[in-house]
Amino acid sequence: MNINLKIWRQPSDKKDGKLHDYRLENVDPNISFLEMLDILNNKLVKEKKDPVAFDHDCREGICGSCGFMINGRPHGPQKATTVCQLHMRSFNDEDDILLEPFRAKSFGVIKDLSVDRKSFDRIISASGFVSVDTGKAEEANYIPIQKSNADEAFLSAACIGCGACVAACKNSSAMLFTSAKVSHLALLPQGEVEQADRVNKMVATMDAEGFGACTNTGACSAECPKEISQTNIARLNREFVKAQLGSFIKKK
Amino acid sequence: MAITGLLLSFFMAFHLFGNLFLFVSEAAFNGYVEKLHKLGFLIRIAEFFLLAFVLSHAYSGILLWWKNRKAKKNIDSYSKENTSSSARYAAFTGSFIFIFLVTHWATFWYKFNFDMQGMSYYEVVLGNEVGFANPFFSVFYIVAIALLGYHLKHGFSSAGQTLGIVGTEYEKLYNNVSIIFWFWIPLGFISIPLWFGFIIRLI
Amino acid sequence: MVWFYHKAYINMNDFKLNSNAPNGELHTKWEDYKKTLNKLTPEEANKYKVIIIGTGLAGASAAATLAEKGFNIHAFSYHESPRRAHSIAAQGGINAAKNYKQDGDSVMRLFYDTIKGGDFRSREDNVYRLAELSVNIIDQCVAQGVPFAREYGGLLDNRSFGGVQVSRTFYARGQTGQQLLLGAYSALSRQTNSGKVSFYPRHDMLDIVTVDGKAKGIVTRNLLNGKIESHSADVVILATGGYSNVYYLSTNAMASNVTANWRAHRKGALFANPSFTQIHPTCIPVKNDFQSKLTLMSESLRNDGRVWVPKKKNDTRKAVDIPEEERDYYLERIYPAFGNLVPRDVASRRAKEVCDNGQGVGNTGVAVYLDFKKAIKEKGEQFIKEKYGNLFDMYQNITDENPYKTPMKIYPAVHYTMGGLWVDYNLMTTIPGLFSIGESNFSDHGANRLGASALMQGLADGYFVAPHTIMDYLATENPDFSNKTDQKEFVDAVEETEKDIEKIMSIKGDLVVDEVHRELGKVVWDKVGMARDKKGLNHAIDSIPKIKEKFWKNVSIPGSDKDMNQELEKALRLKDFIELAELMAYDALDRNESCGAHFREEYQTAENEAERNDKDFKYVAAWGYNKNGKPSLFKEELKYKNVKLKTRSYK
Repeated sequence: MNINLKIWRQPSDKKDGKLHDYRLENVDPNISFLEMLDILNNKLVKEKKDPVAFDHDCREGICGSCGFMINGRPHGPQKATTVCQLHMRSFNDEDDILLEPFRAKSFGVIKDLSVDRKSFDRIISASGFVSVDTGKAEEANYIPIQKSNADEAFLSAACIGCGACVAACKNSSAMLFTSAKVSHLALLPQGEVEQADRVNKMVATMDAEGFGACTNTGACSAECPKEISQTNIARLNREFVKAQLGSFIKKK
Repeated sequence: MAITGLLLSFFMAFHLFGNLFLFVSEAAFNGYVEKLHKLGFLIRIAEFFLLAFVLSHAYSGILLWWKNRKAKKNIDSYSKENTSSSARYAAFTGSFIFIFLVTHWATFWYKFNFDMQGMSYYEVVLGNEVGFANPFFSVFYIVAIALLGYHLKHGFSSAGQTLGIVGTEYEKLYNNVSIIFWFWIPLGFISIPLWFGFIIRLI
Repeated sequence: MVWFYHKAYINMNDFKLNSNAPNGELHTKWEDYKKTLNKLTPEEANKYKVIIIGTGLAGASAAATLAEKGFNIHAFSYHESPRRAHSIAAQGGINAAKNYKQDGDSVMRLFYDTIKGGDFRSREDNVYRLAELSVNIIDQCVAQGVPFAREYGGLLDNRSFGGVQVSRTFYARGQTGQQLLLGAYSALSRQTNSGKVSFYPRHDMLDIVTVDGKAKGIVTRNLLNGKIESHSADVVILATGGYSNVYYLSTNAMASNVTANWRAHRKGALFANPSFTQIHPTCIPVKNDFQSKLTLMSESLRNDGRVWVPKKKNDTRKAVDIPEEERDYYLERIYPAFGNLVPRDVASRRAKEVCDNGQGVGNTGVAVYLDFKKAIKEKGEQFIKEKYGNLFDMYQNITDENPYKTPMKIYPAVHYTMGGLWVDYNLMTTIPGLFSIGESNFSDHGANRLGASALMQGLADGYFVAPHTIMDYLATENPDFSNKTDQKEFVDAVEETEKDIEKIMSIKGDLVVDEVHRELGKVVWDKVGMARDKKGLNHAIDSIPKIKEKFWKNVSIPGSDKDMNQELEKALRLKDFIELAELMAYDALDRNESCGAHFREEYQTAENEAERNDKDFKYVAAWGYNKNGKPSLFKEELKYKNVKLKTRSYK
């Protein structure tokens, strides 16, 4: 198959970027999308041109490194699939394919399709953890946990932190990402103790990082490659209200 | 936003209750409005709060819109396929509804309070000057209420998230009640201009 | 009290490697030893600076734990975030001798399984400690909020894994590595928040700096702007993972590399058992030349799938068109008792054999069928769907073939390296002050790693071993918090690194880095892969220097080195892979026996089984770097006081 690529090229966050056209011919429909980019890059290197920069690592859909907009959708057209697991057979011969980086004020462009997602790390380090030192843990089976809660906590914890939710959202809100971590820990007794403090700090950091507010458009969850549910957002809100009321009462 | 939105929705239900007297009889409707007027001072307080809710709802809406616009680097880059359209256009529908409210106050509310010109309330509502006898007003009213319903569709699902109802045992009940608010109540409002403005003339 | 042992033998020309394991009874050794180690209070610890390279399971857990103890941590990663490390891709689970299932499991039993699984080429003391600490890991992870699978009663669930007879594997669906890494990442994030950890994202470590023979710092390249910097510290910890990507295609992540380890090796750290690389039999085969990466399919598929190839060579018919009598179910034929369930290495080797013989399938001829037709017929499609549904979906997504209708194609692929930097009982390399933890060291898996043991080792090293032994080492060092990067050793190291980069940038040839890497990978895979022989290894030793020459003469890097340059990153990694590949061949050539994952054609029984030679090769082969010439071999004799050496048999 032949494809026409339109790729966003930008040397750095401080310089302007623009779209460049590339054409690839005789692309095997069975190769992965990133392998197609590898071919393009090899070709560019052979022509002594700068290859397209993009983030990727495990190519198994779990590390969360890869991700850019393909025809206006984060990770492209296939549901519950990261870019690295997408294959060229999802496209047709002579398709125009538009590639852009994830767009958000909190995700600066590093180069071309590669963006800076350190703001996610800062949200987690604000309080996305259980404060337990190594070696101070009690016997693992001491607290039984209802299976349904453990399963749900797992589903929330399955977030890979790729940033597709922010890119999909017209508000660049990081609510799905933040709520997935809040939910994961809120559902387990180990996380419950610090819950109020956690949700307050994580929400404050999320706002300070410049992410937009959630207006419940549903795009995040629909585009999430790990299908993180929107109920996480409701849970975060619940925990947030509880925490705010709690600190209000305490002050009185 | 969720709280002021819900409070306004409750008011809306109350408002419809009153409006439906139009279908009972002229006297019933006039009597109902008269009763409200007799409350005097209390109704002014209620109106004050109502206005405060509207303004606060609009104000937080504008703040939200502004914050979110700033957060997006390129306002056209997001997943349009999967963004619910009622949420996508909430700011637009909200603004339209605000314009409608202003005209609504400038016409019915102003007339009812200061400028009855010897007519009954019933006659004002169904009259030609600002009422449903005027097809222009009727169409505007119907469009505005339809958009209000669409606005509330987003509003209720959003409030369900914001207030943390989604994912709890109350979710189903809430969703059913939501439908009353975003579908049946707006339909009730629309039925009035539809009936008195158009259907009744055709029969 | 530890480091001067090293100093003593580093100056000797012909030293016998000493594991520095304490004497005493196996069961109490670690606990007793721990009591003798030097301790520092948090106030004292606060005066020390620790550098950690790599923030996967081992690195993140060590960084968090040392920070809790008061040390100031500088953690480096070429990733943008610790959560991207390849530990995240581990699927199966983590072993621990909790004996929750009451099926007779014990620390002793896990210890024995691990030693035996490693075909008696690992150190007793280390392996016992690993088994002992396995239980603490589970406690720690649960306390962090790792959502392990649970039973309906609310207690932790276990499954059996990798052919052992007990259920001791803890898991979180097929994403155990992810959940454990996120646990360690959260502990690390907590310390970042408290200011004890400074994280340096997108920094590649390009060299190690030694001062008076001790590791005192590193040289890094900032991947965003190409800046070469050096950093000084009181101790350096490498947690840089494995080197499977020397084969070009492996199940490792694209950026996984040997550079940190190799630079340490060049500065004097011995590299142990480099040729012990594990090959997993059920991977999705290579489709074409553009393939960038291999994907693992769970081994459990062999429980219901039957492996076969056509009897006729170069048979191009579709699988469904080949009649039963023209199929060779070779595993069932050769191993009537175990059939399709023979161990990983055996299944892998036999697949290579039939493909080498021209019976391979698919458009490349390098794959064998894994057929579920019989199982579907006997047990029903629903049964298969419930058991393997997600794997079948994954297969279909990648290959666009429906495994319910047509047999899967599989082929072995490299996915773990048992070899790594030689470390003693304290996890210190032969360079004092340089520690190596997790997959990057050689320590616990011998010649073959058991399933669900990699996560266990990474976390045992990071949470429970290294923090104690490193504190002990540091207690004997004078803390020096000042920045010493203006010292000659640092300046020289930076200069040398800059020179290397300049040289690579100036080649301006016409080969893309990947082309050279692919060529290297082919040699290593063919000659130092599943089955090795003297001729092939000598061939590799001859041809690798030619690839090296090609690289240094003809590679092409576009753009600037003062900028994000992903081609340059790859080139800097490949240059070290090439040197490692040669060492792997030397190591495989030295080991005139077959053991675990290392199979030498010359050393097999009449039934084509591995023939181990305990008399001559019961040692760890630790290699020293020589700038010009062959590497020098140092041996650590393995002593078995608590287990009896046995031969594996699957007939």
